[in-house]
Amino acid sequence: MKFSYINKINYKKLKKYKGKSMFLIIPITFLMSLGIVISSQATNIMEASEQTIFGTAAESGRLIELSSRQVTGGGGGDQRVRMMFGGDTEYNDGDLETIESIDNIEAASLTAAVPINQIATDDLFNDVSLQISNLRSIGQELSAQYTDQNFSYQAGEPIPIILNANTFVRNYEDWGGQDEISIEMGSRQRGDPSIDRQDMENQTPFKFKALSYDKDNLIGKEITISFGGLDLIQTYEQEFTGSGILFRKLTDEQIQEEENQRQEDISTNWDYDKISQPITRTFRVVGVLESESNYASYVPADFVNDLMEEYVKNQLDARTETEIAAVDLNSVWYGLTYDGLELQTSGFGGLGSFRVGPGMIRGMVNNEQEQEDQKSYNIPGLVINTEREEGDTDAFQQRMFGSTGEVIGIYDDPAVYEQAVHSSDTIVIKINDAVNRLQVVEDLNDAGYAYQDLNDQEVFAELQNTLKNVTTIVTISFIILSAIIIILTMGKFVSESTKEIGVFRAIGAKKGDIKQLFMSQAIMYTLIGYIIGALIGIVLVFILAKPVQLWFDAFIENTVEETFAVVQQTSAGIFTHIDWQMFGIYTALLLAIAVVVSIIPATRASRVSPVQAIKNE
Amino acid sequence: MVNIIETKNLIKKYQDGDSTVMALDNISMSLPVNESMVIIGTSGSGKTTLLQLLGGLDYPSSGEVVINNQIINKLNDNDLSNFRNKTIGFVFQFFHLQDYLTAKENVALPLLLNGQNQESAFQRAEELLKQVHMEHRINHTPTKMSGGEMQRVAIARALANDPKIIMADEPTGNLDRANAENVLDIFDEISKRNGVSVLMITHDEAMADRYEHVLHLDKGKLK
Repeated sequence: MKFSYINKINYKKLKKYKGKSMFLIIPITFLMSLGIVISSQATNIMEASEQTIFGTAAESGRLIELSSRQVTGGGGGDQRVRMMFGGDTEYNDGDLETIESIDNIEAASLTAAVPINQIATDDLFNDVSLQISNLRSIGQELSAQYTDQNFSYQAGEPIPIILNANTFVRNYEDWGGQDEISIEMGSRQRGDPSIDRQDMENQTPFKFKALSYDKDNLIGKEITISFGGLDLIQTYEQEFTGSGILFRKLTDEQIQEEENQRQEDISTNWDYDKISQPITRTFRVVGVLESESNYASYVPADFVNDLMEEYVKNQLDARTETEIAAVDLNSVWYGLTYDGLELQTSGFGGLGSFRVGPGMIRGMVNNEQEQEDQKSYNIPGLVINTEREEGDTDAFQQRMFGSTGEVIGIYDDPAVYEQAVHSSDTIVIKINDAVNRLQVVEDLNDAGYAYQDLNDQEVFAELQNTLKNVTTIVTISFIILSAIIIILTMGKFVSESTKEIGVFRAIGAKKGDIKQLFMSQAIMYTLIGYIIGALIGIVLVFILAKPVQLWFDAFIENTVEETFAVVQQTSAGIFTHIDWQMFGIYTALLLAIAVVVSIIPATRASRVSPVQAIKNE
Repeated sequence: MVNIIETKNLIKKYQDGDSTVMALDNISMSLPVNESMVIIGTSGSGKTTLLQLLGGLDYPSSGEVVINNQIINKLNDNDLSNFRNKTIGFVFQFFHLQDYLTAKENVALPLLLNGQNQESAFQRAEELLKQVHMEHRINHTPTKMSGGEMQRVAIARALANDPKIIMADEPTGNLDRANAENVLDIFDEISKRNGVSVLMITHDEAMADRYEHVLHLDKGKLK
């Protein structure tokens, strides 16, 4: 029978038996519309999440900041990271390799600190010389953690820098009219840094004030930063009394005398003008990092290599002919130490380099140190070659005072920074897709790197993951359910049509004709369900756009807004989008399933014998 | 060709659980060309089974069925379907028209199954409906028709492909006296005009008088 007439027969049958046909048509309609609605809104939600959240952090779902800094649990179980007193285990290139081998990790970078003491800029705030004390290098691919702008380093161009808002602080002295201030420490409990710090900060004459800033104004600004140069002469001296510390202001004469003394001492071995001259560079602010747990500012890793080379080279160029005794290195003259593997900061620069600032205490002088006679100076760019201690090959312990191996001499290769093994308390990791975040976090923990997302980040990652799963589940259900529906309903139709099939066969229909009849019936009904379902689905997406948007905004407000800077509210427009790709997939799937699955009942139908026409009733 | 239908030692067996049922036991018969026959028997006599075999609706367990000089029991399913389509016209006790098709469409079905296009098929259907005095119902569906009218449409359908034999299974079983007569008259008309043989099965002994050739079946055997 001609194909066109087969369809006409089924069409007429459909018209006559609308009720029966609904058994197949309605479920298909339902599946199709549900599939469209769920997949479209899931896609819309995922899209909205990425758009709403500030550009940088849109990437943030893909970025992990792995930190070996100890986590202290605060009063309310708060998992904010605090700086611990003393050394922590650091990550090095070996850890980097291990981490990079984890599935779905696209790139990782050690954020090594720039080992230069004096890093400052005058260009950010009026009358304030801002110290940038925690400057780190970061690989370009990872810069997206903190900025959405270009982060490449080009010699001759302003260098991109991401500043940390925690550094926007003015340090000043307030002696309260006194020349001396004494601080008691005796009764304090040892080992409780938070109490010590807070109290001491209040009592010392060293104050700091957070500066207000306008983030939008800062971004794009060009500033000059100076690196190196000699430390500022301390304008006070400190004495360790039996029960605490005594701070005493120095007179201008005393200060001048210190300076003269220093110049004299240094000039023996280095050209004073050269060594006191800092390196200056122009930077462009491409990001301002606001974080309670991260205090670092970032510059490109390539730049740091160049900078460090120049830094060391300047010191070597400034050297006079005078030889320096090995015993004076790392005692009188401080700088960096290099033991063939690690480049470390040695000691603390100068007597009384005792800076009290937000959350940082550096150095602790023990009582055995003679305070009057021993002068020691921090020489910018000085790298002291030491012998690595035996048995020390694998230990990368953060040492408070640099390498303790034997001093060999001054290291004379300016490229030492690039050669040295880098270590850092932080590794920044980039995942190839936010949906893989949960798996990567799990793998990191399995590999021994403790990491846990802050609640908000985790919720966000879980949202993405859940949505992805939902779409998968819906699609699989779609396939299974539509197949079952077609088989069951068509099976029923066939069972009820035994007589009819018999008669058709009796008057000359072949088995193939019967098969065709039923397959085309299945396809026709499925098609009708598909078309109606598609229309309903599309309409539903529009109807649900507003409710979904309201839910989404509330969700973002309650969970994610704290962690990420949310730039804009979503417009309902996003939630009216249809996921045409899934639409196409469902269409193809439904048709394929209808064709394939209908073969089963259709074949059964074709096997009905013609005798059914005359079988006794 | 002398006989339009001929069977030799026709046997049809069924498996009923453990036992074998002999529905037809060695039936040998024949029907000359252009002549009609009635097969009479009670229910269970095997008359329905015989019709099924003669109409090519089923295969015998053994024996031959020769129709129009063709050994039809040797044909494969497709060829048999073709054979039924062209050579046989069935008329059933319960009419068996498709209730979602009009009279015209019902009658045209055998033609359409044969691959004919709709236009010529419908044209022929209309002619046939005229022949059985059913022009007024050409575009009506069976739901509007009486039993007698439906049977007449069914007869028109049976004539669609110009068959050699009309095979009727208790064609008057569901009709009142008047309509039954009507149908039998139409059969007479057809056989005379179109040279068609009519083979009818019935339990009604009275029919025996109407036809030259009568076969009596009892428990699968010829009496």
